Amino acid sequence: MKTRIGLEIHVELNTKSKMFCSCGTAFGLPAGSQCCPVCLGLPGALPTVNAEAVHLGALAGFAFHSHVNSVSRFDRKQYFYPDLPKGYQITQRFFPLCTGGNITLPDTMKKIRIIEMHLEEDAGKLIHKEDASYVNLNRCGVPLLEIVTAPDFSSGDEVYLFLHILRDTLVCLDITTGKMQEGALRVDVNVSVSKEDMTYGERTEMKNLSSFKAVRAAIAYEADRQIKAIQDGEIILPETRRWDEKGGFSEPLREKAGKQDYRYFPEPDLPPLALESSLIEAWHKQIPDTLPEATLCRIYSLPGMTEKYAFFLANSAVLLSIFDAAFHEIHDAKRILSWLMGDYRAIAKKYALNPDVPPFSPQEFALLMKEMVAAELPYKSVKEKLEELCFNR
Amino acid sequence: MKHDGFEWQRKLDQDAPKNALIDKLPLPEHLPHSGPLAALPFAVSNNIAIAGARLTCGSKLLEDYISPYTATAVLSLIQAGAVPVCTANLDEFGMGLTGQFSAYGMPQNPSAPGFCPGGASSGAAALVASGCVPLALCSDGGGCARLPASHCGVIGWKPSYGAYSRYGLTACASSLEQPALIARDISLIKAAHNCLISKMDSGDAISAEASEEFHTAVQFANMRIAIPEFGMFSIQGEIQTGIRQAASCIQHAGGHIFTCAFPDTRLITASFYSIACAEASANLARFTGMLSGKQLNGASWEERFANYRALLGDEAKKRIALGAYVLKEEHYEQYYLRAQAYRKQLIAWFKEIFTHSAFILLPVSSETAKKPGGLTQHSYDLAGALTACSNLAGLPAISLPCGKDKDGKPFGIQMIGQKNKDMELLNAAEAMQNILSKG
Repeated sequence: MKTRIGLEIHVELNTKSKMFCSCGTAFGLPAGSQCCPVCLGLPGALPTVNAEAVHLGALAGFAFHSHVNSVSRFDRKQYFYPDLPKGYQITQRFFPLCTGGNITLPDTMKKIRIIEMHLEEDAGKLIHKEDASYVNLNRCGVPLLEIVTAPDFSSGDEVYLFLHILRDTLVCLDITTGKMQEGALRVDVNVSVSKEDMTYGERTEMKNLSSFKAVRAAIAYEADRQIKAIQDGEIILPETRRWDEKGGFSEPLREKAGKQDYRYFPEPDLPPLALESSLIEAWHKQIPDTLPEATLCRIYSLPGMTEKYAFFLANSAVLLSIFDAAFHEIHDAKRILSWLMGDYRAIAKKYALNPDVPPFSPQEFALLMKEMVAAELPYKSVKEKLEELCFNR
Repeated sequence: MKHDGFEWQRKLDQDAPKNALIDKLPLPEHLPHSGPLAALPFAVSNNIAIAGARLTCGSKLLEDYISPYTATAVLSLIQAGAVPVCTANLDEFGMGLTGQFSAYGMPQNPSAPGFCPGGASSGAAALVASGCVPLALCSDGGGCARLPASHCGVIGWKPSYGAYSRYGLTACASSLEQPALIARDISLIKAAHNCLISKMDSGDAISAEASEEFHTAVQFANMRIAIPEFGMFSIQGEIQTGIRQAASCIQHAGGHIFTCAFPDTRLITASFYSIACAEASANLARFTGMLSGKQLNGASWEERFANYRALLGDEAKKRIALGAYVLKEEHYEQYYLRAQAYRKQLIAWFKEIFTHSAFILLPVSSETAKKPGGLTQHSYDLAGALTACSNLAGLPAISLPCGKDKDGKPFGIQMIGQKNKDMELLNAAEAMQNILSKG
């Protein structure tokens, strides 16, 4: 039986102010200290769009080969809940900011499709205490980018790799802090398994996944659970499940029966979000030439490369340029990494140098590697020469 | 030292029509000497926020709710030197055409005692008609300023959609409702209009480019004016006569009158209510007792929300239920999208009319004020259509006192102008008022 997995990822955008008002977005301030009539949904208050959030959303779009739409629109998603002061969330249901896109997994070069990325506002945070339940509305209205993928994943490992690339890209573009423990990145997982006739069964949604490892473990658990259930002739219910990280299992969340109807309709308080093509072009130009995804696809499968070092290099322009220069000379990733990520880091530690920003140039290091191979220098002398590169300048 | 403010308060105490007032507001220590509206007292419909004052919206739900901030429109008038002296009653959350749907009683109509004042801005019209205040800032979502103005014998003005900032107006229907004015004197409306025109930082993301030209003299000579025919719908005789008299005055002044067919009033009403109720159902979802107003007990949050919302009046409940119905996934296309499609058609119809006429002259309502409970479904629908069409199309419209019926109840006539040509319409209305008073 095959497993099919899709993701809905909520990314807190790294903006100074909230999505529709000028309140601050800093994490961890006293409850209620970052609220105003707009994010509290007081009578008469109206939203205005935070241009910075649109900019960051568009950058994410370009980074993941998405189409940034020149006209998108906001809609209301209605439901009652104590963490939602207006009784609706402003989101983009019908015309999202970014359409399409993909991320290529560097190990298999499999393309995972992104369906869309849209802007929306976060809800407040419920806090359950013994005496009563409270709601902290500081988070209410914090800008979110929701990234929806196609159900293209077939394993938790693929998801794990994808999420790393996604987060590294977003963090390197300063789109989000990416801190899962602060809720800056939240991943909901949809899982379904194929039946004998190769059609896919009902899918379940999993929430409360606090790390990428938890995502991977929860997927493995859920796929297993569904396969066993089908083999035992049970019916999979389309339900939302909560992952229990300590226990390593998931359980259904208590929910009302039936599919919820959010009664979406266009937000009448906001005009369509129109972006000038010159602005879209200018934003596109802000994307650096090499993003982690492209680098990973280039170096991930080099003989001698490891996943850990591939990500390391993909996230450090300095180390990558040193690696590339040396690789150009000796085409031996394993030896280069051993010197760059092993011996140099030991030297750096010993003499309190910056391990991520070596004091030598890519050319100097490449020359050393070339000399090492050509002259078959012994280890000790290479190490001496490397130290010289660090100090005799 | 006593200042004029005490005189205003005395007037409110003595002359305010029953149920028209919500609260008197504390007077500023010194009255402003400067500004285009220096020391002009005005009433504020109680769905528009004023910091420190109750914002009941005519609803039991918000009986104790005090707004922490002031609406942009109120600030604009204060900046021009005007002084808010009281808040005015209205149909709950601005929903109603008669004035019967406030939790605080129906305001008395000073121009037709015993009859409905018209709604939803019932208290604002009654206060202006009684002479307690020369100006009221209220809202108009489907005729809410023009209808009560017509029934109370004063002027009701609704600008182009987006002309005034809606920030601080507790709208029941966001895409239809906006701040509006009621006054006895059209020059006052013009002066207030110039102070209210939206600025960039108005807090409202939707703002139109309002024209600011300020001609005073409008010549009807060679001006073309459209008068719709209503076919199967009956307009009360006196109102028909009023329209005919106004038309002949215009012709006398050299203007050209031509008649045109009016769009199907049932379609206007149906699309108006689909959109208005859809928006109201979402806009009023925030009233759960969590942040504003009174708290009620209940075992769960669901129960608390429900107990609190049970305090809504019947009209509000009906519209919320209708709105939730038209927005259901399986109804969305059939009702909501069709209503929006019709709205586009209506906008196109107006555009076409305005290619060969300066404005449209029509009744404000099909009937003069009725006794409470005395509005038939037919007049309800038609009254809605006559005023709501300009809300659907976002056009400026004004209701001017025109005459009285056989029982002495006042009625107005309505002029609808082109989008964002508000001052042109106000100037034409001023000229109209002049020739009506002469005629």
